[in-house]
Amino acid sequence: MIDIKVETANGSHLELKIDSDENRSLMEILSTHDIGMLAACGGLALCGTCHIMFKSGGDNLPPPTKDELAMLEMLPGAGANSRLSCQVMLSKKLNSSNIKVMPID
Amino acid sequence: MPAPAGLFAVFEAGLLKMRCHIIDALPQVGGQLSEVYPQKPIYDIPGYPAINALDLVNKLVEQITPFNPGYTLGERVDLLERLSDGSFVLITNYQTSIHCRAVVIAGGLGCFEPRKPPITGLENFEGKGVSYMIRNPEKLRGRKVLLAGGGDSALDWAVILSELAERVVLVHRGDTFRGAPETAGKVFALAAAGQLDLLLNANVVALHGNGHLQSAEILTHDGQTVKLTTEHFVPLFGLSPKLGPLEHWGLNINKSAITVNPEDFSTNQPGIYAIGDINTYPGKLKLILSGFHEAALMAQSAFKYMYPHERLSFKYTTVYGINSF
Ligand SMILES: Cc1cc2nc3c(=O)[nH]c(=O)nc-3n(C[C@H](O)[C@H](O)[C@H](O)COP(=O)(O)OP(=O)(O)OC[C@H]3O[C@@H](n4cnc5c(N)ncnc54)[C@H](O)[C@@H]3O)c2cc1C
Ligand code: FES
Repeated sequence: MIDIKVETANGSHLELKIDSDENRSLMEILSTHDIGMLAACGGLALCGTCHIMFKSGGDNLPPPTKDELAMLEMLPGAGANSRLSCQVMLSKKLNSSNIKVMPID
Repeated sequence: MPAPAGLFAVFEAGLLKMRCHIIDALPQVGGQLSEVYPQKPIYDIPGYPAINALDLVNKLVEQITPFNPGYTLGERVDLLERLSDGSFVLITNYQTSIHCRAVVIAGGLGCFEPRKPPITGLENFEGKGVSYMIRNPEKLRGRKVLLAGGGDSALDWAVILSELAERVVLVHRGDTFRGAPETAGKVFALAAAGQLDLLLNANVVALHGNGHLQSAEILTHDGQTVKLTTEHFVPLFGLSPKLGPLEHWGLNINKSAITVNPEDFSTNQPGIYAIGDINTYPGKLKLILSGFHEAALMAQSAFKYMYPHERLSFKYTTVYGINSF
């Protein structure tokens, strides 16, 4: 089980408990919850509408690819702990992390 | 609002001899296909095992040409008003007004609006030195221009303006560019030749001026703040979809989508239809295919709405062909 604490773009909180064997991205999981994640490009790192920020955890994840970094650089509110959730695959490394879904700029 | 759903609606309306006028906020037709993924293949268009998004848009445009639609591109519909005779007038942000008897909203994810970076004073200088797109580069001839961003448009404009402007400074918060590698190469070469200033790992943090923009503060890669004299600042951080003005047109909206009757995709306002990604009903799938289907049913209903006393007989294109107008 992967346990993730989520702060949504409008400031509400939820806790996700995900089966760790799911071969899906964090965006796919977040989109199934009613938190208003647009994920307009469906996971191609093209739209930036799945932007999340790690408040804690996420340190040992595989680093962003060149495409993800380039998109993040386009997002005005992005910082050092920002990721595109569509590029973050579910893994045990996400367990106990605390994320914030960023509003669409 | 012509993305695939809107374009095909022109065709279906045309078959029933209803002429359409297309308005889109983007400078080109095709919606998400042209703006987000022009060069990607689509595999679920019936009859095409694979088709490039831009090719599909071009084919749709070709398909509707016999029905001679009007086009207003690069203008956003801001107002939709019903007149006393039941017809409508749509007014754009450039004050173009279009009069019509039925409205089909195929607004997709909404308008693609420029992303605005968090910069102190940015909004105060909008239209007074700050703009989010360059409509007429000639206006920047001989001027000092500050650009920010790392995508295609930032790179393209840096190259173009390096020949026109007195001085171009491109500020990019990273050190890799998302845009085309050849253009990035050109930008690096121009910077090396001293024809533009390239500031990497840097951010524009504040703008100053007295009524009009006069200078910008830039936080450089080594943590220093430098002040740059400039009359023009163009942040180019791409576009992001926003529902936009159609939120205020008295339509029933549920989670950024317009609720429609799935029998004919009519909204709560008689004479106004919503098709494609912008609508929602039980079982809705946001697919190009769904938008096509919705366009066909909508056109039948819109005909009955506009011509309640005329009989509508169902016709195959194979039998009756396309009667252009
Ligand atoms: C990366 C990606 C891949 C996809 N792949 C597929 C696929 O393989 N198969 C598939 O079926 N679908 C796919 N889709 C989804 C498909 O693109 C959409 O379903 C389709 O574009 C919806 O078309 P639409 O006509 O409803 O609106 P859109 O394409 O969203 O276009 C809406 C248009 O309305 C305009 N607009 C909005 N508001 C206003 C206003 N107030 N005034 C003027 N203009 C306005 C916008 O500028 C825009 O051009 C994909 C989408 C993405 C992003
Ligand atoms: S869903 Fe578009 S960038 Fe992640």
